[in-house]
Amino acid sequence: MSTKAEPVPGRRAKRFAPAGGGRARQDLLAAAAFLGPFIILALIFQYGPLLLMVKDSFYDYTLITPDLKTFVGFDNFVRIFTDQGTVKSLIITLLLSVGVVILTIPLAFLLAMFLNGKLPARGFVRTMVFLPVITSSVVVATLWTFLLNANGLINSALGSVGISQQPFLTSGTQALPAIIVLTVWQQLGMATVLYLGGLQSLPSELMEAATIDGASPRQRFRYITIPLMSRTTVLVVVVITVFALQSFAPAYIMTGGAPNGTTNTLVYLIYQTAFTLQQPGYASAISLLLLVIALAISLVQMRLLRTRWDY
Amino acid sequence: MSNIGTVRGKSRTRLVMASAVALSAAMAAAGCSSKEDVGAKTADCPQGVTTLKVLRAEHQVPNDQQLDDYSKSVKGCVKFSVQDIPFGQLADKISVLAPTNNSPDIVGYDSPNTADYASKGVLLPLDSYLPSGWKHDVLPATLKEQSFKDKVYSLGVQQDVLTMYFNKTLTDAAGIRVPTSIDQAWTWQQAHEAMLKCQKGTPGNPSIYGLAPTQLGDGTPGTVYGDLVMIRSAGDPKADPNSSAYKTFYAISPDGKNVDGWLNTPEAVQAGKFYQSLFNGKTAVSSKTGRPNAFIDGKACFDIFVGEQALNLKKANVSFKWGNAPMPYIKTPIVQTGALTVGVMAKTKHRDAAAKFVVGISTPPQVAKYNESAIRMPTLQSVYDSLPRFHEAPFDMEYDELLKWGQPRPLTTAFSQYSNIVSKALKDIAYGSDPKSRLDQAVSQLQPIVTNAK
Amino acid sequence: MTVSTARPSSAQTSTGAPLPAGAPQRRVRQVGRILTTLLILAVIVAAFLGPYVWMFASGLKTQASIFTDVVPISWRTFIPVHATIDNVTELFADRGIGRALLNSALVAVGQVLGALAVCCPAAYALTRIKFPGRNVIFAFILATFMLPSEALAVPLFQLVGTLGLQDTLVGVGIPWIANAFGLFLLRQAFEGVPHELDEAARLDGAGHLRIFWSVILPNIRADLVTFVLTIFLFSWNGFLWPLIAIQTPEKQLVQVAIAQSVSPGELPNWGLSFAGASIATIPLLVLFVFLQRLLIPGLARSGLK
Repeated sequence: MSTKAEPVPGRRAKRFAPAGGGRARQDLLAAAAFLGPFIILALIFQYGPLLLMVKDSFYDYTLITPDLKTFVGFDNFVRIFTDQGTVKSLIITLLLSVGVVILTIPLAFLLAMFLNGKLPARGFVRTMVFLPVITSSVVVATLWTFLLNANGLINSALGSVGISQQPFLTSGTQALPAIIVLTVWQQLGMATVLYLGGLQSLPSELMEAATIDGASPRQRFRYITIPLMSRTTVLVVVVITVFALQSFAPAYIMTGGAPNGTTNTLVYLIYQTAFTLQQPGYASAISLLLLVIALAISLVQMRLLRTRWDY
Repeated sequence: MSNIGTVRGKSRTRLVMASAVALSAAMAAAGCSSKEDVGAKTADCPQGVTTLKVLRAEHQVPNDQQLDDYSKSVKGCVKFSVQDIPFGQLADKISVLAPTNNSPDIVGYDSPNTADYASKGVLLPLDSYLPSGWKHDVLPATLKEQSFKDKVYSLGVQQDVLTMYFNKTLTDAAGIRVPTSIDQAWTWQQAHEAMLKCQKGTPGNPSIYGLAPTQLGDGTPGTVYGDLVMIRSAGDPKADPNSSAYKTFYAISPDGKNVDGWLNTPEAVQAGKFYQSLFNGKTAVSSKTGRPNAFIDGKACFDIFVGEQALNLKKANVSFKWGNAPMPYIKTPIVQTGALTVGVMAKTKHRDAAAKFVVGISTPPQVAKYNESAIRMPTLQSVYDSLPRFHEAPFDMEYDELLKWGQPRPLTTAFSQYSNIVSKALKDIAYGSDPKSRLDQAVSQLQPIVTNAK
Repeated sequence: MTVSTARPSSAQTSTGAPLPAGAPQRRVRQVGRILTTLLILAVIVAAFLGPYVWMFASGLKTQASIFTDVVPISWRTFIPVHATIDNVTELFADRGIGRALLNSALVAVGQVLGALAVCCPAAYALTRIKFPGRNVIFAFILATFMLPSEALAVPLFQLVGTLGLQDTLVGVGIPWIANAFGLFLLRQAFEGVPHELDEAARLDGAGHLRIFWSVILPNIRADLVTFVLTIFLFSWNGFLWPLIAIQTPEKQLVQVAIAQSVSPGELPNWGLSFAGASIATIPLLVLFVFLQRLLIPGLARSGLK
């Protein structure tokens, strides 16, 4: 790797540092040297394929015969909005993201409050909740396939308290909620830990002052804890939204998008369109749409929450 | 948090950097080794040792035994480097690799894809390598499936068709007499009644399934191989070629360009409703979510599977008596043919060696050896005649079905798309979607694809 | 670390209260609180530990006994009574999982070291050097975090092929070295080091390299652990890209290797699947349990600034 390039400008910067006048230029050189390797790799391996993808999105071809390309202009983009399946997948993906965020935020917050209190096995609980975060999506999806199977652990547990067998992944009304729950399960640990960090950084003087002023615990929570946690919330919401928008393994391993496309998430649709349906051009167009959506949602979320709570 | 610039921290970071360089060098070395394609020339191999890259579905053809035998037969002058892929990812992997310079030489693929791969120049035609008389010995279904525009792309080493296995201990107890010859085959109506009668427990969540959750695909309903056959059986090949009954039987137009009016006929919708009833409500005899090995575990009365089941049952040394019945049908008996087979990638740099290998494992003695050990039906009439095992139950039934009822899966150069879209529709129908609108939806998605397929 | 905000009323003050009339009521409330805590703990254990115990136990069972043990639910569900290591031996003997574990470790370590070498200086530049366009560059880098790797797989495969890195472990790891999320974590950590420190060093005549090396890095050791583990996690858990990028079986990675028993589109063998899933998870689990004291606070801090 190209770390060898760095010492030279660094040393030069040091030699001329006290001179003052050339500092801006030296800073620029140093910045180039420090950022260079990262930028080069990102350009090659992230933006390179991205540009290829942009180009591909204007063509119609198959993966097997990439040399036989037909230029189709904006057809692939127009098709996104005329293709019922794609529109449905878009809606499903947004529903999934919204569902995951709505469930994760309060749960993670409460769990963080709980863990922040006096608790005998705090470290143990924290570790447990964090387990799914470190487990691969392939393993999580496989595990949940078996958990949700008609003969699986969850149905067995429900059965032991007298609830009849649930169809879960084979039911049009239960499959998406099941995948939302799974995703929440997978992400809760991360969100909780981020919140826990936020709670532990709350200025204790503020709390003490409020207590002295006679604020009830509820008031302190409402007027101090929640506003101060808003920046953490932004981060958590962005991380979780992006994760949910990129949901792939559950559809790929558990449902294949069934029943009736109700779990056909966008990234799985992209994968299927490119590989199985052999339309990588169209898949590229959908990928670009997904990228734009992810960027837009993140920007809006950051803006909204920042302006409202910044202090 | 706040001890600034200790010596320890410094040296440790330096160590990290140093090992970064060392490790990346090691990774590079590991990545760039084994570039040699042709090894040193020896007395046995005047042309040197050729290494052929093989891509195959895990545990499938060409299997290790076939590779070893072939290697020995050419005195070790051909060696193999094998990559095993889960069957579910095989087609994706072939699509990605085919256009690259790193494509394998030999590929074990699913035979209905022959037209697809051949039309796109992925496979090498093997006509000039065919042994004399081969075309007269091979089963007609195999020849048809593994050819495209009159050129042969694979010789085939096995055929598979479905039969309906039954747990005789359970069916006897339920007082059911199961037909065991092809001319007494049940209609699906009869089969469904028998399954219901034999099933134990609540339909949908029984203790003994009427029909075992499928062992095909990922173990959930909807495979083209296993389930489309029921829809097609609602058609009639002897009817007027313009009738919906005729079209239902073929499920795609003969030129492969039309599915509208072939896949979503009234007969197909009706069959779809029946298919749905196997998984839903009081008439349910199977399961939507699957349960591996239900039949072998003695938890199911019937099971629809390929010949390999006989091997599995013997291996498991099951305590019940079993047999196999012909596939039930709605109007016309039908089974779909095709199995994993072996071809040569067109981009190979070792055409001759690769083609000779494919021919080599497909000669009668080699195929016979493979068929015997893997318990897979032969594709050569002469081999079938020479192997007594396949003249006994359960294989005599399979062979009868193959010859009298066998139809290739719908022939199209867009088979992977066809298979994907249709199996999703069938799965949804099994899960409870309206058969008519779901089949129409599949047709509207598939029609532009098959229209544009070259 | 121990500021308790939500539960300010500690046990001492309530029992020491002089009002006897209120005492029983308080005791009831206290018991209620303990019960609630226990209930929440029970739910967490059932929801998070339960599935894992089931997974590890089932990996040591035959497929048939997984099914017989699951209904009705009992201690047998979670403990392999007649444990068998057949699944595990099959994975190691027939499916080359040992080699795959080694490959995954190699790629993950390579990726971690590469990411350290590339992301640390970048984070320094983004937080410590003033230059025009700094925020724009950071935004462009962050944007790559929004790119799902599954969607990039096809063009990336073409690209890696052009670079001659196809079917190499380097080719698997190198595209993800410039990791946006990793850089984001490090940027947050760098921001946390007071600027007075480098001002002081600068007055002593230190250049950027010296400040980076001897002032900043030693101060963010805990965050570096977080960073290392995060990158390791990304790398170890990758599936689709390694599946596409690697052809030679000896170079296969662990998630792909276990996917042969946990394969989409293929009839699952529950015993093998559970065993494979366990084997792929345990190394991370061990790493995590040893390092979590460092990992979790690091991640937690990343959300603050």
